[in-house]
Amino acid sequence: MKKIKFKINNKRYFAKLGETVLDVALREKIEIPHLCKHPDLDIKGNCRVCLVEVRGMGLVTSCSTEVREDMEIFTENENIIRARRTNLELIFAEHVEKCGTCIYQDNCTILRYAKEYDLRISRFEERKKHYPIWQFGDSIQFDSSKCIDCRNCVEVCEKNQTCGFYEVAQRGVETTVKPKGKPKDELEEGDLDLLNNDDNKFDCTYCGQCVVHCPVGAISGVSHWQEVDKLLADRKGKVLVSQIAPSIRVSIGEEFNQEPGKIVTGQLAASMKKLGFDYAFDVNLGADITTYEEAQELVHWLSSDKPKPMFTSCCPGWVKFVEFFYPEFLSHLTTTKSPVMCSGPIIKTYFADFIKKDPRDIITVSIMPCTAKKHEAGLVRHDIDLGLCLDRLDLKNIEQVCKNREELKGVKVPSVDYVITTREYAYLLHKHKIDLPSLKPQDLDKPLGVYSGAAAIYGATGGVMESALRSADYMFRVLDETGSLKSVVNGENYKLKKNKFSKISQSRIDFKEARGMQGIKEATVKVAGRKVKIAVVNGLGNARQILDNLRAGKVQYDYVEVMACPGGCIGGGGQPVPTDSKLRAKRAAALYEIGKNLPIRTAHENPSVLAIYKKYFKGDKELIEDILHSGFEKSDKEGYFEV
Amino acid sequence: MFTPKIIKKIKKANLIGRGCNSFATADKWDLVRKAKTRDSKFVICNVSESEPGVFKDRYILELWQERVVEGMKIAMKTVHAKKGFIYINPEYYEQFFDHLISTIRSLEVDIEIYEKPLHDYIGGEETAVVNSMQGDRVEPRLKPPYPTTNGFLNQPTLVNNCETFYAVSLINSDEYKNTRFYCLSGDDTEEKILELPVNITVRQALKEFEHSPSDKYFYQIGGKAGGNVFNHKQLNRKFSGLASIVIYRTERSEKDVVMEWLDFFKDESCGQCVPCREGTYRLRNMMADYFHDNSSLNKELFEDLIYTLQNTSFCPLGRISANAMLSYFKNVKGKNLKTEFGEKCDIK
Repeated sequence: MKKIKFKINNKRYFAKLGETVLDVALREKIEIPHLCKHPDLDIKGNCRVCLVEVRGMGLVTSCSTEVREDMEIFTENENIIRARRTNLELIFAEHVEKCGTCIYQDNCTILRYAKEYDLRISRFEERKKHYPIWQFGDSIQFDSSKCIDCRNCVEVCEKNQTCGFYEVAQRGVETTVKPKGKPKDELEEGDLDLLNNDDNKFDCTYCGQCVVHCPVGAISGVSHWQEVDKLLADRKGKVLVSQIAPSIRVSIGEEFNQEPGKIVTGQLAASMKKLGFDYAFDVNLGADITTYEEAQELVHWLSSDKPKPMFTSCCPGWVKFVEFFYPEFLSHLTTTKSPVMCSGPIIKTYFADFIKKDPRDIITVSIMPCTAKKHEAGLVRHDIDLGLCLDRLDLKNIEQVCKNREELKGVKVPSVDYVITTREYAYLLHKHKIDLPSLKPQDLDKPLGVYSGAAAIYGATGGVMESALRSADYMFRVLDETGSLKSVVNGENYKLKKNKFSKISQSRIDFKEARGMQGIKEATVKVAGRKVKIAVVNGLGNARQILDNLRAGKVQYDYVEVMACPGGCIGGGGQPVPTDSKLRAKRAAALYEIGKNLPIRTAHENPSVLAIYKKYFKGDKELIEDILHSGFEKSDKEGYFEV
Repeated sequence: MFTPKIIKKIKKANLIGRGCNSFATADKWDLVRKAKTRDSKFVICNVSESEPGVFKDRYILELWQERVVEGMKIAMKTVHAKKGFIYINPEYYEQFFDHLISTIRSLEVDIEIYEKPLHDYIGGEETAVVNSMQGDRVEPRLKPPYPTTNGFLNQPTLVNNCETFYAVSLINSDEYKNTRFYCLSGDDTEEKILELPVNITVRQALKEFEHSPSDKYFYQIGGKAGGNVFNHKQLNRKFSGLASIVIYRTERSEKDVVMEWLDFFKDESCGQCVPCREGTYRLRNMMADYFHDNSSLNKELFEDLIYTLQNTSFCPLGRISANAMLSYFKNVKGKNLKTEFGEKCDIK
């Protein structure tokens, strides 16, 4: 392919046809400020900050200008500085600085530019002082007084996620980026927003992609960190349990200037203790439980004449997407709860019993890569029925602690009390002056036991699929040899007579077909001699494509994994900003590295999982169903409201 | 390589598009004709006529709309477009719809009339036209790609002004006489239109309109919003862009004329890019304060805003938004822009 040669600041460079000036500058580490350009999105060229001068063309935006043979580009001179600075000042005058309460304060792009360009931010009066804050459900907040109208949120929601929840309203200086239509409490009968037909159906799935694509922190998760911070200062007799999701250990380092993909599990454990949590757990055990349940469900599903495919349901953004946009597919979702919703009940019953505490005195704080988990945590269907648990489970210590057992009858507690995002947690650490990378690594608390390599990869697209297939491979063989999954339900670790994987595991381990960052992967894989047609999907736009194809009968699958965010949880709406394809790939690679190095690589061989089934559930299928499974509901538009 | 006869004739007639972009019509047609697509191409007649002080399209539709539709029909055949659209502002839609429909029927051509949603300014820019027709936000697109290859529904699209199609029809029947329509409006005159040769000067045109230039007046040439302002001694110049003259009495208050221009651009900015959305607003407020309390102007800020609007705006609307004011200061008020406002301050 022909290389284009050209000059930047009188130095010779080469590029491929179609590369823009900004592409080359980023590659060559030539500093050009830019705000509205994001590698996941189309070039919009509306912030007008990435200006450079091209001989013969004057000032141009480097994001939208392709390099040409013999072009002479300058990235710094008096004209460029004047124009960049003026546009930055104009942008700053749109953005009401609320740095004191902004969790981006330590890595805020425009604040950095303001310093670099020595902005005189007082030259223009702030014009958005009275702009409102909108909240979407219980997960996302959009502070329009901080919005700089770059429209990244509009685009990622419309094009990438196909949810169309944002719009650009009005014109000129009145232009407002906002959630589409009217606030919920202003909707009236006959409003177009309520039509909900296929052409007019939009709602927020809480995926948070708008959050990670906002360059100025105008959109954020509804914050839970303040409450957590208060509890840490005064725990009021509560036991504080934190748990970390699979994917945050490979991303949070970025908030502390570590290389993307740096694995900081040990430092995270130490940091949670240092902050004052009584116990620091790993959601990975929950992930193994999810896998163990989901694989059983898959084996039953594929052995029955139930309509296929079975979909994963551990991603709450995806679940909301189906509940709102495609309710006819709800019966296709696995009813197995997500890892954090599996570990929550176990912490508040099994573990509560272990430490001799009233479950009502345990507060669980989940540190998640996700904003939709805030929504999931608030769903009553995930609450734990304490009365039922005490009736059916062997929880002697709890009975002793809560002397009056009757008192617990009908009492429900949330599985997860607070969900804080990777960013919120990093902010808490910064606030308490805890420098994560310099902490001495510790082990996470393991009263609940170890986790497997299958759990470790949950955070990357394809991870849930691969984990479930490993266990399904084993369970199909159990079914073939024993005629039922009874031994599995009892947690007996049945030894297969025909064990062809004896050295490492009782099942096939690698399903490389499920790996990789592509938006849609399809394959037919061999699982215990059966051909299983799978699809692995990330990004809601791709999910829509798959559902439309299924609806039209164009495709057929047996098992489909869907994650709402690009790349899976490693690209989640709660992750550090920036997030882009390169960073996502590095985070995912780190997860597979963790998974590969663990001694146990499958959920069904994890002794902790087996112990929980054996000692705790004791084969009580009904109880397992109650604790580890949940149904779904068709959802009406939840819309937004003014805070 | 084969070139259709009509394109050769348009080239020979040296027809320049009669919108505000001054692009050679033959070249544009050839680009659309040669653009490859598996789908269909489109021809759009732009009757947005959103520049104040310009009303020639209305005049043409009143008198010669058959010529316009005929011109479109020729274009559709030449660039291989199966479908044409007349993109027309709401007032004209009301006025001409019935007549246009019967003209289209009698010429047996597949042309649809599309009512422009607003009578706004930016909605006349050709990429804003195709956005508007697609139901997208009415604002310009990043260029390239141009509509000639990626226009309506991302297909090659020929967008020409109403008067351009009128001229093509004349060229086709060998009746074109190198003329175009000139509009006169403003103080002490009624709105007038004349068909005159293309290359005349402003002074010659005014003579035809029977107006004698004097220091009692100043003149805005090329549109009441985007045109530059000249004094009565500066009229021996040809028209560039739109053939429009707006007459102002010199005695008019400086505040009124300047604020009218600045208000216009502030209100008509589409809101897409920072310098135009924010800059036209800040410039307007700054000048309003200046006129209001007669305070001294923050010249450094004035220069920064003008420079940034002119050099970094997404589209011509922002780039030209200060021209009327600056040329008024320079040509009517006799100010030296560079010494009074700064080295970078100039008419774009």
